[in-house]
Amino acid sequence: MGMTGARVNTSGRFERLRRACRTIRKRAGVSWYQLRRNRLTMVGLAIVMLLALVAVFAPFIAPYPGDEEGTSLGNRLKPPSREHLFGTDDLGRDVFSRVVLGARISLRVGVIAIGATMAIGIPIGAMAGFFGGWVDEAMMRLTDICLAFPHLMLALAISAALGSGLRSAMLAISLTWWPWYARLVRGQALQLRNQPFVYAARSMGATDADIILRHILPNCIGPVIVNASLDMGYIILATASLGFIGVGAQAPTPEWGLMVSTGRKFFLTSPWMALFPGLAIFVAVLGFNLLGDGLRDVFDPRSRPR
Amino acid sequence: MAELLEVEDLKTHFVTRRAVVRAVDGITFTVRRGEALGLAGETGSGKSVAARSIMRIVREPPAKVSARRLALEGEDILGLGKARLRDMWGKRISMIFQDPSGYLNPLLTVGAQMTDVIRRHEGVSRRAALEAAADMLDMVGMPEPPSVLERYPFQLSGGMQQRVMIAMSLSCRPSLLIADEPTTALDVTIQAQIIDLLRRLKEKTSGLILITHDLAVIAGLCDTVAVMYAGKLVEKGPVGAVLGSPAHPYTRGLLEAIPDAGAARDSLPFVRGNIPSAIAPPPGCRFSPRCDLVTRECRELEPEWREVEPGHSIACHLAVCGGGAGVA
Repeated sequence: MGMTGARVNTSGRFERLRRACRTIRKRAGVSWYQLRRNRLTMVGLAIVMLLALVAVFAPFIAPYPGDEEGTSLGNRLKPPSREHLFGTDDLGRDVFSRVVLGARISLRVGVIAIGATMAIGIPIGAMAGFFGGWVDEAMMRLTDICLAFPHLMLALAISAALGSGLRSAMLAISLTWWPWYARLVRGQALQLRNQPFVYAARSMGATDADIILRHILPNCIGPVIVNASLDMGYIILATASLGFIGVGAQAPTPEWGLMVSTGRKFFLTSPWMALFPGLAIFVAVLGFNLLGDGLRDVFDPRSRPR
Repeated sequence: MAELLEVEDLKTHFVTRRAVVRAVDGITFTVRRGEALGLAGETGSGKSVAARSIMRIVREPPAKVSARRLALEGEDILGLGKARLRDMWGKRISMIFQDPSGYLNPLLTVGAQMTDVIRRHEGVSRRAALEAAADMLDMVGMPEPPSVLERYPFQLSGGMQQRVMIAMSLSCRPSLLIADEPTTALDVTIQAQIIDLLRRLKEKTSGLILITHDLAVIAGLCDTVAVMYAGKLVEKGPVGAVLGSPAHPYTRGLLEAIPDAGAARDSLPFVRGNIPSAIAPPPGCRFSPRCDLVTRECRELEPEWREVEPGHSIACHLAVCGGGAGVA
């Protein structure tokens, strides 16, 4: 090869890496700046980060991390105090510890359910949008069918078949949630497949798989990220609802929805039992929604004027 | 074999529910090895569709491409399946486009896009592909190829983007390069640079088809020219003959309409009227509604091809009966 080829070699992997890092920093810098301008988004980001920290370090934060620890029936239904910040529940367990441990469960459920949802929805949407015709028709009808299923009913059916538990809840949520991603990505793919650069790639011999993986999917990642962060909130809420109606997490799992459900019975006399897990749900959902809204402003400048 | 590309009676019709649009309606020409053909004509005359049909890259359906013969290096293209066509695109025929900015993926670096093409057709390692890409960029006169390879399209100017497109399209040494108005979206100085570059690179491929409505670009770059009007060719021949002594009234009109900066004029000459509908083209000669020299024969009978001098022919009734059509 010529002189220029030699230069690529001598510049070395390290130099290339350094340049790549600089480019990424520069691009990240722009998005960071846009994010920072919006105060509500920063609040959302702070909540989400706090939540993540709490989830990761839950056993160290919770004063009584074990179920049995600090449990004594003589200690039941105690109002918030210095010992028990959020009070104790009907079995004498520390509500604060259980809310902290619940963050772990909610986040894990959210991440897994979103992951499964995207894993099903994105390929289906990309193929439907890119190929069009009967592929599109078939996949979108399947999507419509799944969308028409009320997810509470499906969750009831699944937990009837597989037994109640977090796993059934996640399965039910993923199976009813993916159509939104399929629709979102299909819309993007429909638009992108007519872009000149897709045409150019085709004219250079790119296969359909090349085009979908290299040109279509990377270009629709923005809206997908926005939706995922908005949906994290909704999925936490949905998990809590399933726990509340009794088909999600089962006792003694410290799941927020389940805790609210149990606390409901004591609401008039010991409101803290339902109040604090309920607040945790509220704060988590709010945090993800604020963050998602901010991300949308960054990725889709057209929606900014509000 | 002297013929690189043979096109005989190529038709591209778009079949819609309400009508058939005859975008290209029976054109015949050949590109010989080492030759550059200029395909001229106004907007909507079917130039781009013709080029895309030659590559077989128009979407079928709604398009329907047919021809008596369509062959690249003696091999029939019309019969090729999808997979064979894909192997041909970028490897044996490539295309460069009008607006370079839209034709590069905004999320991939120049290097990633160029190596995608090279690795697709040559099956070499990423490293070898990167080196080949750097060499190609060097060839199209890009300063500092290694750093350009790491940049994103938005970090390049329009002229640089077009150089990247050209480098990319030539990276697998195609036999035929189709340039679809490669300079239209660029400003004048960059235009001159790109034309210069194409002239230099002509030697790297076996043939070039340049699509443009700018006859000056053709004059500077091409060996032969074919003038297209409403889906048909009206005049073809060597560049010197066609542009020096145009025989078809349409070609003459086009040449007269080129503004001359030196001459002070009150109004610019133009070819009156608009290009006719491709759904229901006028009977007879398609140019007849706009032609100043129109006769009754023109309105009723489709003109046949006639040679006005060796290698230079036109599709016009006046070539025989008018006589006067030969002078410029």
